[in-house]
Amino acid sequence: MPFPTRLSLQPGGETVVPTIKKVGIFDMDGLYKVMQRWFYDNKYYFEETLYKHKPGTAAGKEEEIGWTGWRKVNDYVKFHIKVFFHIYDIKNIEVIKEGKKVKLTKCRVWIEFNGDVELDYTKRFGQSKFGKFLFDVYNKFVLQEEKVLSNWWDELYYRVYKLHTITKEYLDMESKGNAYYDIW
Amino acid sequence: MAEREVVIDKMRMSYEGLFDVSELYKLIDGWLREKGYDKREKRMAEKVTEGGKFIEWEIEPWKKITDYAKNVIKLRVIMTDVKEVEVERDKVKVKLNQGKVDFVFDGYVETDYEHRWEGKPLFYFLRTLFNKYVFKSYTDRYHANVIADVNHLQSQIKSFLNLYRYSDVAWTKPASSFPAL
Repeated sequence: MPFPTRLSLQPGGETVVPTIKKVGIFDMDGLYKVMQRWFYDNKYYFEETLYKHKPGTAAGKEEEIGWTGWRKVNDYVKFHIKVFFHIYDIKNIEVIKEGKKVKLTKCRVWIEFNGDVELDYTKRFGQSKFGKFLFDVYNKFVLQEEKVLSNWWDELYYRVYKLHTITKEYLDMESKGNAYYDIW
Repeated sequence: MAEREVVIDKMRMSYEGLFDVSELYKLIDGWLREKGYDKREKRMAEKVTEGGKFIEWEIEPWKKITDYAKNVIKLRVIMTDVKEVEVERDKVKVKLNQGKVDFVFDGYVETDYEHRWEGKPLFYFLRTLFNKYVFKSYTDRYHANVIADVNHLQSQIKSFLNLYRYSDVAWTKPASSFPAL
């Protein structure tokens, strides 16, 4: 079986990704900026790959937003982080907070986090059969998944959880905090 | 597909009363880190309802024991009618939460998670045979490992909640004001 060029962040090839669901009133614009800022601060190239706006129902508008952030780790490995927002029943409201009028958003938000480690993004091994064979040998026997590749996988995995933690903290969720924050 | 064996199937625990939600989360997260489990938070949901907050956590951390087997713990925490209350303890006002919390624990042993023994039917057959008969002592040890870890986590959570259950001002219903101690 050929070695995959992308190592998925979900162990064992599962399709369930970490999700955050929140129903309430919060600053959606602020959340957007804080999460986007994280990508820039950690030297990721940020792309908004999807933006869908729907008029929704009487309860409010609906939006789908997809982000991709990527970063070159070295000349062989590239990290990709994907975030997907699905926001329902959006209503912009004004509340008085600490004596000041603040514009907030009342909505239901569902955020999914995912990512993968891309190997040989410069295509040095080429697309020929021999190149693919060398790629398989290099990854299976030289780098070895359990010794070298797993380090990169691990790094991306815990960096995605850092973004996950920042999101929970901004949404002021009860489960904020991360005992694994000092890993990577 | 890796072989997943259910060792603990839906072990439940319930509590109603005073507790601190954020400290409970830190306890669980800290325990997992201490025991060497890798973090996996499948779902973190919060919703404000009329009766209080509804909070749901679903975490499924894992720990590789060998290159063939790993322990997986699945913990689902459902909190309903969670309200913020102020309690006076030793003449100091402390903010706690009041509500109902249900825990569901599952423990699994996953073998051949690197999918080395499932490429061919013969390998699959050999894997099943070895798991059941040849390496029985090892698989029993893996099971015992998971049971011990889940029981330890459950006892830690129980001790944490008992701290609040037997405190001077443990209430089952929220009060608008608390009597002076």
